[in-house]
Amino acid sequence: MDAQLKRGVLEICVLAAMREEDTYGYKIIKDLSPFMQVSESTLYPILKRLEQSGCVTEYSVEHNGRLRKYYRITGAGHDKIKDFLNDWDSVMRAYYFIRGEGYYDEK
Amino acid sequence: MTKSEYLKKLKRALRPIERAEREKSLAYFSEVIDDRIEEGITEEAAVAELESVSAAAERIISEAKAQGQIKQKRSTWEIVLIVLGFPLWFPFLLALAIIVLTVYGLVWIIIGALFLISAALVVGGVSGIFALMAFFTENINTAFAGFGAGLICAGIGIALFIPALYFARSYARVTPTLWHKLCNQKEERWNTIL
Repeated sequence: MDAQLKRGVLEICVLAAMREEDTYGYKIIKDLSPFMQVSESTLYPILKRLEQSGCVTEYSVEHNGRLRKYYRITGAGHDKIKDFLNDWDSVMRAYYFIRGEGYYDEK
Repeated sequence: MTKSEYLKKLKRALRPIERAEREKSLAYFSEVIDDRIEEGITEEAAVAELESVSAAAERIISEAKAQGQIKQKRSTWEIVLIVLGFPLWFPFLLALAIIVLTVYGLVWIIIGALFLISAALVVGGVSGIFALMAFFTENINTAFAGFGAGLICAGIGIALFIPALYFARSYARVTPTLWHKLCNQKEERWNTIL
């Protein structure tokens, strides 16, 4: 997959992974693995960006005598998922046009 | 590769990044390795599942670059100024080092003085006993006054020995910490300069 595209999609996947409950780095990687292969070093900059853009907040919890960083999705994060799904509709319309299969809305 | 080896190499590879951001990245990788180990695999296996140090560092650095978290390189002018300024900043640095050493030594001298005073008082106290013996036949009042003064001296001397010992011990204990802090700062300075 194109790096730029993958990155954008991955960002939303990471947000979606914390929709149900707050989560931490390794759990995100595990939860996403059936759908998308993510390495630690790919995930880290994504989390950083999401945090900086206010889509995610982070806090540390002591776990087995060490600190584990948890991530929580914010309202802005939820909006970002919604926006993505809305945008994707127009992408799908283009997709069916590109494939020459007519109109997406008819599907 | 062990966890600490991996993190050490990563730390070195991430040197161009600002300190705070570097620490955060390292904490993240440390956490991910610990989480894997907790799942029941060995440390070596956990590290082996990660991307290579160079690949990981490359991603983190390119992201940090995009966000302007790269340490500023010295411009040629700054380097020239540092070199030309050597006769100026070197004596200052030397003077500073001497002052720090002097202050440190001064505290030891004060502690040493406490011990000496304590010892002197105890010696004074012992001499009180001699005063008792020497003046006993001549003037009994003087003899006992001397003896009493001696006991007081010895008492104060012994009492002073305890805080002196306490200060010496605490000071000796904080010495490595002080040294460590000083060296760490120095290392940071050099890292920002170079």
